[in-house]
Amino acid sequence: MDKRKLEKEFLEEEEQSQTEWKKRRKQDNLEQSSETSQDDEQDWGRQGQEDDYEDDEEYSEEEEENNKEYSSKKKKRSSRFIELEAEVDEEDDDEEAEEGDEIERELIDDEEAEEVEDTMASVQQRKALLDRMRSENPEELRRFVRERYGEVDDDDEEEEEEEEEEEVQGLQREYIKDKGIEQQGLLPTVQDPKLFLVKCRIGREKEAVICLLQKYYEYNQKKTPLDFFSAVAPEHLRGYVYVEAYTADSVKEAIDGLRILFPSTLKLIPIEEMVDVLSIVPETSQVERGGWVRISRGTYAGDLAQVYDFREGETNVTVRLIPRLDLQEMRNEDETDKKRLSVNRRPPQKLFKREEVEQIVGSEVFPRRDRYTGEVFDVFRNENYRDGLLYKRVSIRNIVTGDEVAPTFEELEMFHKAQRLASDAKHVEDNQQELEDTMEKTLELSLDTLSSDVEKNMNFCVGDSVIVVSGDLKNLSGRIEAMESDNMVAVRPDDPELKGELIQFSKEELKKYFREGTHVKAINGRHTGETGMVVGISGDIITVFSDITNEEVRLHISQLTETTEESSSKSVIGSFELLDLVTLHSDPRARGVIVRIQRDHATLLDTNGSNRTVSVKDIRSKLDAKRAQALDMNQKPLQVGDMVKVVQGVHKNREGSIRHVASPFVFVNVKDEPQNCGLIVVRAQNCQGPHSVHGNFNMTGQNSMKGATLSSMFSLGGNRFKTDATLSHPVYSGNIGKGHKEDDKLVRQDVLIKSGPWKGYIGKVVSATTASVRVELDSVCKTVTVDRSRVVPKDTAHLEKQKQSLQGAYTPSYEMGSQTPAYSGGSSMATPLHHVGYTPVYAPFTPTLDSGRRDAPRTPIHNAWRPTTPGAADYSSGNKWSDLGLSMYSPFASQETGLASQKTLAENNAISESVDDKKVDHSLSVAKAWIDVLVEHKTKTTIRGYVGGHSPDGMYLQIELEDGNSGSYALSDMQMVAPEKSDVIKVVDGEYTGMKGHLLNAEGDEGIVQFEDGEIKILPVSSLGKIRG
Amino acid sequence: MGFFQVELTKNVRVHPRHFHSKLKETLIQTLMDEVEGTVSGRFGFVVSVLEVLQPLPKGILREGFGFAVYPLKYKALVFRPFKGEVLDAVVTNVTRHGIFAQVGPLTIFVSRHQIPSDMTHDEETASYISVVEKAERIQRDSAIRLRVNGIKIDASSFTAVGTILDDYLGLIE
Repeated sequence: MDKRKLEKEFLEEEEQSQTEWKKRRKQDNLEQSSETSQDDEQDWGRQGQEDDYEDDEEYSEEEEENNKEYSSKKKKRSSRFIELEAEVDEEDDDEEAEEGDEIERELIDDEEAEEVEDTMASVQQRKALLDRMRSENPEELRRFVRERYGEVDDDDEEEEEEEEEEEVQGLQREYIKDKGIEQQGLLPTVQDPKLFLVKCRIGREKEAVICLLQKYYEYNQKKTPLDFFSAVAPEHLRGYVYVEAYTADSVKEAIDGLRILFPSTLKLIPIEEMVDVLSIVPETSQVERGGWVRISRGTYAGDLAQVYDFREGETNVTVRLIPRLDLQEMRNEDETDKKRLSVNRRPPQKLFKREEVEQIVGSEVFPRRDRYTGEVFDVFRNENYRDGLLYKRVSIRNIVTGDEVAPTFEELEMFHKAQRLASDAKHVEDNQQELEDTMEKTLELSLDTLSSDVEKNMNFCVGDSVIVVSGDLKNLSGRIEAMESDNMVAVRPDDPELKGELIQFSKEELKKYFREGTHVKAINGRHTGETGMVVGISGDIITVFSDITNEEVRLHISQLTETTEESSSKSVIGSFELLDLVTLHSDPRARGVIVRIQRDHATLLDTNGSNRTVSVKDIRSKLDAKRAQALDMNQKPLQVGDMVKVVQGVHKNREGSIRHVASPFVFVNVKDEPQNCGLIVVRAQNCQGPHSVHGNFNMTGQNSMKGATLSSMFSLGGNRFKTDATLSHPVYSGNIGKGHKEDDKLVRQDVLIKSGPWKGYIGKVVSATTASVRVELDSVCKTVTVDRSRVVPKDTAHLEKQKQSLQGAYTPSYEMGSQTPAYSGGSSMATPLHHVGYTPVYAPFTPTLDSGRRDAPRTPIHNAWRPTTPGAADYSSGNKWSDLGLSMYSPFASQETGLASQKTLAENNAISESVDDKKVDHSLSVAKAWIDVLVEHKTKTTIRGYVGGHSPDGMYLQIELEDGNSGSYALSDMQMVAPEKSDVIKVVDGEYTGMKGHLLNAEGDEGIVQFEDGEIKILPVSSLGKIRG
Repeated sequence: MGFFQVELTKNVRVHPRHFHSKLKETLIQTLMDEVEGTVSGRFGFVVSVLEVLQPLPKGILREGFGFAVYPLKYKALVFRPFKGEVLDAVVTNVTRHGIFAQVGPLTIFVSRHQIPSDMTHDEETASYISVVEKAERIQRDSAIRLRVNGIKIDASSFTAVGTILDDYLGLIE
C-alpha cells in the first residue's frame, strides 16, 4: 500500500468512526463537534468514574519509569481537559528523551490502528492534520500533535488504557514520519465491536465501502445515525468487505439497500481471527529472478517454473517452464475444425522443438522480437518459446513460492536439458549469447542454492549413519547415538578399534552417509514417506530405487534417513491411495490406477496404457471391484490376485498378478516394470490366466500356492462352468457402460419378484433398464420399480425355488466340505460347489451381502435364470461362443454336476437332502459321457483308470484301475486326465458330446481335434477325455 | 547360494472328512501345499519340505468348526539371500533403469548405476552392451553374476538390489 492509499483508507475509516468518537469527546480543541446528544452526557458521567479506577490500575502497574510522574499527575487531575497543556509539556520531555527506544515499541499492528482510530479525531481533524503534515515543518507538526493528542486516556477498554495511550502516540509518530503503520500489543476483546464479513460483488469492494461511508453521512444528517464503526475492503480479499459493529443487526441495517452487498452472507469473524483479518503480512516477495516457483492453476498446475522476468510491484511475472503440448492433438484439432477431442487430458512435459512442431502441426512457428525487451522468441499459437522452454506471463497469484516449491532433481534435469539445448543454439545466435550466459548462471545458481539450503538443515536423528566431513577425524564413519544439545551429537564410530567410545561432534562436522543397498526413507520433499533402496551415490545426491513405484528417485542426503520400515507407507491424496482404481468426473468412462501422487494432482495409468495427470477434485470415486471379472484369451474369468501371463501385444511374455480388473482391461503388477509402480495395463483378452495355463478340468492344484488365494479358487470354474462366467460378464459391463440389447428381453414378460417389499408379487414388466425394471403388478393396481436382480421370469421361477430349497444344504457344505480341498490344493471338487452353491445363490439369498457389493447388478441371479430361458442361445455371449467354434455348454449340465457332487458331499457330511430327480438325470448324463474316459482321483492320483460304467443315478463311477482292479468312486471325486497331443479322445461336454477323434495339438487349454469323420474342430481341452487308443 | 535346512512349525487344519486311516498322508500333503513356495520373513523362501518330524503331534479340535489343528514340526529347505552374497542370476528384463534378474524365486534389481559405465543401454535390443567388447551384452536370459547389495524383507516377499560393479561380476559365459 502506498502512502496515499493509506491515507485515503484512513480517512474513510476515520470518517465512519466519527460518531463514536464524538460520543467520547464532547469538546475539542481544534474542531468544534457540532453534535451533542443526551447520551453523551450520560457517557461522560460514567467515564468519569472509570477514569479513577483506571488511574489506580496504571499506578500499580508502574509500567514505565518515565511516565510515572506523568501518571500520578494525571491521577490528581479532576478533568483531563483542564490541565492539558501542563501535562503535555511534561510528557513531551519524556517522550523526546526516550524517543529512540520507543520507536520500536511503537510499531503497531494495522489492526489496532483501526481500533485506535475509533478513538481518534474526526475526519475534519484528520484532514486538518494531513494539511498540516503537508505544509508545516516536522517540529511544528510534532508539537501540534502533542497538543492535539497529548493524552488520550479515557477509553472504554479499561485495562488497555495505558498501552492504548502509548500506541496512539506511537501512531502519531508513525504518521509524522510517514511510515507504514505497524503496531503490536492490543488485541480485540469481547467488549470491542465485532467484525463482520459481508459478501460483495467481486471487483466492487471499494465502491461498497464508499457507499457505506456516504450512507453513514446521510444518516447522520438525518439524525438517525447508523450503528457501525468502520468498513474495510482489504486489498487482498476479493468479493468481501469487513464491517465493524456491535451487532449483526447494525450491519444489516447499514448494508440494507446496497445492491452490491449481500446481507444474507453476513458472517461474524471470531475474535481470535480478527487480528489476522487486518494484519498485513510484511510482503517479502519471494519471487525473484532465477528463482523457482510452481504454477498453481491451469494446464501447468504443479509444474516447476523458473522466474525469468519480474519487476517489483507488478502483478504478473514471466516464468519459463517446460511446455506441455499435445502436437498430435493440435493437428487433429486443425483437421476437425478445432473440435476439442479430449478436454482434460494433460499432455506430458516435453521440450519444445521447432522442427518437430513444424513437421507435425504445420508451419506455424515464427520468430518474433518482443516489443519491450527486444528478445527474440519462437512464437507458436501466441505463446513464446525459446530453447525448448515456454516463456509465459502468469499472475503472481497463480504461482506458489517458498518452501513448497521444493524442486526435484528430475525436474531440474529437464531444465538442464533445455539449457544444454540453449548452449547448442548459442553458436547460431550470437546476439543471444550474453543473455543466455546470465540465465545459465542463474540456473546454476539456483541449483546450488537449493542444495546448500537443504544441506544447512541436515535432519539428523538417532540411528543415522554419518561421516565426518571436517576436522582431524575426517572420513570417520559412525552412527548417531544421541542428540546431545542444540548442535552436538554423540557418534559411535564404526571402526572396531574405537568401539565403545562415543565421540562428540557438532552437526556441521557431520554429513549423512548412506551405503549402496541401504533401505532408506524420504523424510521431506516431494517424496516424503517413500521408502526404497540406495542404488547409486554421487556426492550428496542419492539415487533411490523406490519400493512402491519401482522407479528411481534422486534425492539429497538430507532428505533421507535410514529405515527398517518394511512396508512402504502409502501416499494418500484426498480419500484416495496410491494404486487405487478410480474414475473421473470429467471422463466418467475412463478408468485408471493412481500411480503417482503429487501435491494436489495424481497421475493415473489409464486403460490406454498412457499416463494422465488429473487434479484430486476430478477423481470421482474409487472402484473397489474385488469381484470384477474379465475374460482372458480363453474366455476364462480373471480376477484380482490371479497370476497371468501376457501372450499378445507389447507386453508379451510378461507375468504378474492382477491388481485391478477394469473389464475389458486388467492392471497387472509386474515385478520388473520400472514405471507406473510396476503396473502395466493389458487387455484381458491378451492374457492367459491361471485357469488357462493348466487344463482346467484337471486342476490338480499345481497352481502356485502363492497365487492360490480364495478368490482365485472361487473362479476355478473350469470349462464346465464357463457359461456362468460368460454370461455374467456382459451383464456386468452393460451396467457400467451403456445399456445392452438384452434389456428389453424382460419387457412384457410375466415376472415374479423375489425379494424386497414386493416379494412374491407377480406382474408384467412394462419397461426395463439395466438396473431396474418397472413391474405392473397383477394383484395390486400398481406399477412398481424393482431392482432388476430381484425379478425372475415367472416361468423360471420354480427353478429358483428349487435352488432355494437346496440352499439349506449348500451352506454348511460350502463352509466345510468344499473349502478344505480348495485350500489343500485346488482340487476341482470344490469348484462346482463354489459356482453352483455359491455364486448364483449367494447374492439373491443373502440380500445384506448383496446390497453391500459393488457389483450387485451382476447378481448371479441372472445367471441362474438365464440358462433356462428358451432363448439362451440367442444371447450375444452364446453367439460368440459358437462363432469361436467352441461348444456351447448346457448350463444345466454345469449345475447338475455341481449338484451331483453336492449330493455326494451332502451324504458324506451326513446332511440329507432331497435332490430333484431331474437334476440327477443330468449328472447321469455327465457320468455317461465319461464312459471309457481316463480319469483319476482328485487327491489320490494313484487311483487312475478308465471309466467302465456308473451307478444308476450317475453319482458313482465304476473305474477299471490301471493295476487291473476295478473300484467304485464318487463322480465328484474324480477328474479327467488331460489328453495329450495325438491321444485318442472323446468329447464329454458341449454339442459334440460323445464324438471321438484324435487330439492333433493342444495349446493352452484349447485343443485341435480331428473327429473320426475327418472334421477338425477347436475345443477346450477340458471338455476332452482321453480314451483307449 | 544360501540354502539352509531349518526346523519350522506350522499349524495345519484338517477337515473332519479326512479323519481316517490316510490322515497322516493328508496332513503331510496339506503341509507341503501350504508351505512350499511361500516366503517367511526370517527364513526366506521355503523351497521344499524335507521331512515331517515324527511322531506327529496330536490334533486339537477347533470348537465350532470340527476342524482339527495339528502343530506340525518339519524340516524345510529354505533359500535365504543375504546382503553381500554373490549369486548367479538369470536376467529377466532389461530397462534403461537397469537390469532385473532372478535367482530362483528372488528378483534382484541391478540399477544402471551399479552397471559398469563401459556398458551402455541399447533401447532397441533391450540390452546392455559393452563398449569395449561389442559381443558382450547383457540381455534377457543372460546369466550374470552379481552381488546382493540390499534386501528388503516383506511379510510375504523379498526384493533385492544388486550390483555388477566389481571384479569378477557381470556376464558369465
